[in-house]
Amino acid sequence: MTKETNKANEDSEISYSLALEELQEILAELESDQIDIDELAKKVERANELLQQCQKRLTSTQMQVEKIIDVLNED
Amino acid sequence: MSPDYEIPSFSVLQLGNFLKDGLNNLFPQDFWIEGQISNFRIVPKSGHAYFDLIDPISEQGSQPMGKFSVALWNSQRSEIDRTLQNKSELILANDINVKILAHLDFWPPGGRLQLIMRDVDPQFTFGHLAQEKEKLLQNLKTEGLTERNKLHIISKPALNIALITSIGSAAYADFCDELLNSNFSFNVLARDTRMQGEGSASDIEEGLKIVTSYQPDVIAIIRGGGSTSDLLSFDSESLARAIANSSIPIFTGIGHEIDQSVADVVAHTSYKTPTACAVGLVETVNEFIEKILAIKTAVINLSHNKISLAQSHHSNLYSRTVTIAKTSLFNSNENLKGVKERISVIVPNIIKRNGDKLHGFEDQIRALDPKRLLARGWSITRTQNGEIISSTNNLFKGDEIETIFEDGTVKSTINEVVI
Repeated sequence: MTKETNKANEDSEISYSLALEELQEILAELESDQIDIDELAKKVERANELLQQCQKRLTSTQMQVEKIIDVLNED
Repeated sequence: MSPDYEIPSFSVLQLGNFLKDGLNNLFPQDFWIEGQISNFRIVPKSGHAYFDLIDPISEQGSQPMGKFSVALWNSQRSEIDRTLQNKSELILANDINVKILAHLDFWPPGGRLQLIMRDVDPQFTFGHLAQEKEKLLQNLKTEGLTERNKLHIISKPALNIALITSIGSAAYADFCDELLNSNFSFNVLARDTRMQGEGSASDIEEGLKIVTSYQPDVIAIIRGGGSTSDLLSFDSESLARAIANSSIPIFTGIGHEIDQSVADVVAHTSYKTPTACAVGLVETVNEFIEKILAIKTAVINLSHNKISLAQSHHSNLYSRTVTIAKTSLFNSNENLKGVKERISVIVPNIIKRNGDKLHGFEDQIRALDPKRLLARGWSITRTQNGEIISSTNNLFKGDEIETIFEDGTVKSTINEVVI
């Protein structure tokens, strides 16, 4: 139980580049023809989770950047 | 004891006249004689001038190796002075080497052997002075003394001035007026000094020594114009060496129209008049002010340049940062989109591929279903144990077998095995 929680935390704190790396690995697996159907749903679900994380990170970064640019322009 | 010859006997006057006549016979005409003037004096009442003509190679201060008293009558003196003035700007004065036309005379009343001066050779006198000056300048130059005082760098505005001149002279007044008019706060320490005549060169040297102890920024030696003889002190070797070796920069303002004195040549800076010397000092201060203003302007300009450079660098960095950040965000977004698209294409493909595989299996299985073969007339024969019989091997007469058809099973006994 504790372990699971830790993993969830780790996942939520995974860096953008690590998330992207994992996505590439999943893509490679999916494209390799070796994918086990039993694993497919899990993999796709994981990919979706990572994509959402990345998207969220990207959106928040974009907002932060826009905000900084606005401050700089005011100066 | 009586002498072999009669000893002559004279009265003083007789001997004097005898000597005078004898000299007249020996030197019946005037002759030229060269020598150096010493102990020159004019008797105010009569206007007659008297001096000693000494051997010029005699060392100064020591007993001359040869000496004659010279008398110059007032009647001839003014004419001789004119000749000298017109031709060489000289007047008769001590230390001058002259070539005079004279008559050797004995003056019985004074018991004095003397030369009566009639004329002077101005060319000789002037040429001799010029030659001596040239030789001195050459020596000073060889020793590097003409440049030595010039090596002093005036590293701050020269406002503390030590002045060597005759206080109260026009030169002094002109010089001080010029400094006062500049509105700079000059501080002048004046040393009253004789600027011409016998001993003036050593007086100036003494003045240099004294004012040097006050460590002024510049020492100025000034006097107004005068004849060549008046300015002879400024050609003194000893004074020239003192100026050259001075630890303080020395400016001169010695009034002269044609050539420079030796003092001018060895000085740090020389001017033709006391006024010009003061103007030069004011100019030196002005140069500092201009330099400071130029530095100020340069500092301001450089600061502005640096700031605008930094600003342009900053705005450049800013726009690059913004561009890179935006590009990076855009690329990341595109990347994610790509991943999404690929997944959305790949996953259905995988499912379809696996479905297709299953269908293939189904077809294969269906094709291999024995029921379909039995319907087409094929049958399956098995032993009683249920083993499929695919060969006559191990089959023997009397063995019981069963044959399966589409619609039922027949049990039979083998009558014969035919191979």
